[in-house]
Amino acid sequence: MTISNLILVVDDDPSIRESLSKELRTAGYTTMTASNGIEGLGTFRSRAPDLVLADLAMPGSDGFEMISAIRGSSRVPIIVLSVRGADADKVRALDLGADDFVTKPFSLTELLARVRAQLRRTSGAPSTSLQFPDLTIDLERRRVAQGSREVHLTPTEFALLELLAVNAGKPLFMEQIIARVWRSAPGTTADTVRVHMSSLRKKIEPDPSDPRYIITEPWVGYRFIAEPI
Amino acid sequence: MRVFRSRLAAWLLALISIALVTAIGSLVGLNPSTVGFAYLIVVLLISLWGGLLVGTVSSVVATLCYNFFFFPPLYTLTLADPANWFALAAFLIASVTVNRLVVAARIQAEAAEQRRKELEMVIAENAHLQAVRESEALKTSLLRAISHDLTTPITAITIRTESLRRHARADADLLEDLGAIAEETSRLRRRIDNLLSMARLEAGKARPHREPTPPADLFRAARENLPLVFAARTVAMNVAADCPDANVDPSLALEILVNVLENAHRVSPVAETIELVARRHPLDSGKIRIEVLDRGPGIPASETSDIAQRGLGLEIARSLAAVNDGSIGLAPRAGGGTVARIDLPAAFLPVQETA
Repeated sequence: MTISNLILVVDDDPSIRESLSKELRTAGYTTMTASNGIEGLGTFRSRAPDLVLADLAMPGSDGFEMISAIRGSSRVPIIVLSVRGADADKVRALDLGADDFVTKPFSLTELLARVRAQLRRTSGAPSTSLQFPDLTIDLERRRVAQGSREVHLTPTEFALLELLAVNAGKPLFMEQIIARVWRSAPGTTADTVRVHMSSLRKKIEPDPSDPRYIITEPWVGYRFIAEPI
Repeated sequence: MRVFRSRLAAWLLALISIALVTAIGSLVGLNPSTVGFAYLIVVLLISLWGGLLVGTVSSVVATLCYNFFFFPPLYTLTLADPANWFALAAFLIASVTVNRLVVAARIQAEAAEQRRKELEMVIAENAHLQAVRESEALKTSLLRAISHDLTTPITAITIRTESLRRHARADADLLEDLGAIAEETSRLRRRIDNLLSMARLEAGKARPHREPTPPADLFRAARENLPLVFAARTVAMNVAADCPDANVDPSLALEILVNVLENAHRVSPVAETIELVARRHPLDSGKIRIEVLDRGPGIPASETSDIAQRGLGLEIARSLAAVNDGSIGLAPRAGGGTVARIDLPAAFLPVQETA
């Protein structure tokens, strides 16, 4: 019997707070709510939730300050609720250490999938093999299989896939990818990443016209999707 | 022409005023020192009005007249008393000096006036810039507040509708109604998105922020944005293997595609497949072409160019395409229906090196 994960919902709108909490409880989580950044930080410190859902635009103390403060002491997954058109805010939140974002108005299905992905990423014990529907990545033997068919990747492609899949559900910045896969080698640009990513996607996506594992994250970089929708 | 006239007037005035002083002085028989002061005043006024050259010439002419008409022997340019040489020289020096001082003062006054005018213009310009900046900041925060205030209730409605759908699992009637609410809510959401995008672009705040965007990612994002459309019918997506990425603002490009797709969905029977195709532009190597093909009622050939008549969604899509240096065209589709062609600039990646 596992104890259900505790999720802290921080939003200034009471209707969003209540409806979200209710749906999260229905999905099997325990919830706590706060209506601004300062209250959220207080609750975070006293209750140590397993995940934080935070609105960005709140009167008083906003979501950015809360994210920075939480990141000062904890690696708890943080999912940001952003609004369309506020792309700079979204990128800033990710930069401050948020793990993911959903854009209002989001669907519940989408939000629950994101929550599961974050909890899985942070709670799972390190493993030598990553299993996704129809895709297996053997980190030790550096092999990738689609069903029973082995996929041949170049070392760079494998390193890219490994980085993204280990961080499944988390948007990764181009700079992070260049730093981790290319060790920031001089002359490596976003276009270098795009070229290799394009060929990796052609090899692992069952339908390159409708990607299900790796998607681009506008103005950020790429994201690996743990649960193909 | 005007400058010439004003120069001429200065010369004439100098001549007349010196002549007048000379005539009055001679006829009335004023003593030479009074006449000297009168000449000095005339030279001062002429310098003030006519400038350095007229002033200097007037000084010399006045000195000659002074000698000729007022110092004995009269009506010659010779002087009987050597002391008069001194008086005449003193007069010449004084009048030339007055002339130069007056002209210098006038030039300085003009420069000061010019500086004052320039300063006033700079101040006015700054005030204008400041006003523009303030109004842009106001527009931005207003748009952000509107976006937040409109999106929040829609988010709440979306979540509650999903919750109700789950509870209504067995009730077909209720499910149908809830489906309709969900669809209308999502339509309302897209219209708000559209209007906010347009407002942002018009406020000059949101300039398109372009980056290489694979068409497949646009297709996938469209699927996530229109879950009800994709649940209701088959949408076949195909990106040609050699299709370059689009060089567009990903968020605006998605909005264009969603609007066009939504329009195709609205006009064509649910049983018919909608096709999404992305490939190189057949004529322009710098572009890619995304086509949305439906089996709706089609369009009369005469109407194809007039997107404006085909609803707000398409009109907005056209404006958004234009901001991305793209365009949208509608054409009849062979076998019935419409082809919407979205042409967007292509982004070229460097040729792949061997890894």
